[in-house]
Amino acid sequence: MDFVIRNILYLICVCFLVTLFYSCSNINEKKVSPKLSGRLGSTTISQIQSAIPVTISRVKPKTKFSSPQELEVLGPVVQFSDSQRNALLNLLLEDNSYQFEFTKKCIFYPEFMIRFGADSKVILLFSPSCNQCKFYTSDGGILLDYGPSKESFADILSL
Amino acid sequence: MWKSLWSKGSFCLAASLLICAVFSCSTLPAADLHTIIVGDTDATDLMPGLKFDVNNMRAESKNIAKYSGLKLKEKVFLGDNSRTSLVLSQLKNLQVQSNDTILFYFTGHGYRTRSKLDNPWPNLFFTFEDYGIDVNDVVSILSDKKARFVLIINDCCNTYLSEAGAPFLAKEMVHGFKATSNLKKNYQNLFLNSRGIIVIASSKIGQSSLCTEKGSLYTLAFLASLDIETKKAPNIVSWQTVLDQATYKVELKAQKYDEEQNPIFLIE
Repeated sequence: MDFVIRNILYLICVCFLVTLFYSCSNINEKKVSPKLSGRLGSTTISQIQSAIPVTISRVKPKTKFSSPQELEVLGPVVQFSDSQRNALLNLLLEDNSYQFEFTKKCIFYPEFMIRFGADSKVILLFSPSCNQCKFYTSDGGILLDYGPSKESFADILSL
Repeated sequence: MWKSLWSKGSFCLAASLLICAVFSCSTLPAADLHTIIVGDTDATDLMPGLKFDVNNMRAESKNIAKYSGLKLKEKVFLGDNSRTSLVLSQLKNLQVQSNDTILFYFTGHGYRTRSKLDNPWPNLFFTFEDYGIDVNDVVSILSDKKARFVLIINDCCNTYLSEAGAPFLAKEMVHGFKATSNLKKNYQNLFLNSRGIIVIASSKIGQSSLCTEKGSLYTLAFLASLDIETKKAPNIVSWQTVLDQATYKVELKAQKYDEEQNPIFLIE
């Protein structure tokens, strides 16, 4: 009988330790929501998660806008602190931050640019007039509507 | 005898004249329905919704022609043809008779600038060129055609862009089959017997217009409203009802998305 109880306790301890290990190892990896994952792809998401530094700047299109290369940077480039970066990732990688049902028929006019990593493998542009943002990678741009969390994004953009 | 022959002859002559008159009336050239349908399919972020819009509007044009008796003359601007110069020159060179109907339809991005002041209509955006057309210009060109009835539908945003960031405006130196007995009369009332001009923007000043994968909210609502209203008893259908219903549908649908989209229209 003692042997059985000891084994059960042993099993419970092992389960607890395994759970603890997994939760600690994922502490810096924001769980990505499925809709967003479907749009951006796992590679882009892991690039965003691991990117350091993350910077933000005001921008405007030089003439006709079609890619981040055609933007003029206005003013200083600000680097996110660790806590700011975490807050950004929490917001950015959450399905509830976006709506996926419709697209607004507005012109995308970028006013802010966030660069992820020194090599800027991912660039995120914001067009606040219609609460739209575009993730750029080497594969092109993905447009998203951040209407549901526009206030939180406005706070981040005002850094 | 001569008298009898004369009276028979005059009767035949009168009958022939009457028959000729009937035939000439029945073979009078039918009034035309000129449709100009523009889909800025270069706006890839709005695809495939825009393609659905264009296909739906083309199908509806065929319905309008079929039930109203108007002869359809269609011009569609898509992809490489969706260019400001081509659209404007089509509008400018459109040959219209006084009993014709014109339907202009645009689906794509739209914008406005502060300098438009209280002009409620948006500018239509052409992605490839990065140029716009002021709806006021479309109204002005089509009004000058003196057609019996003009319907101008603009399904696009009406949100502000800064003057510096706004695209230039192109100024063309211009300055399935339904089967109910009511359809024919209703389509005729709306498209054959109406006079004047109707201008529609899918959202009011400063607002966005929404587009789903199945098409734009306003276009879908307009076509649904037209479909419902034309099936009603004749003589109660009016443009006011069609457009009120479409507006209501859009507002309701947008609310479900936690958005506001209030279409505007002018009936003159």
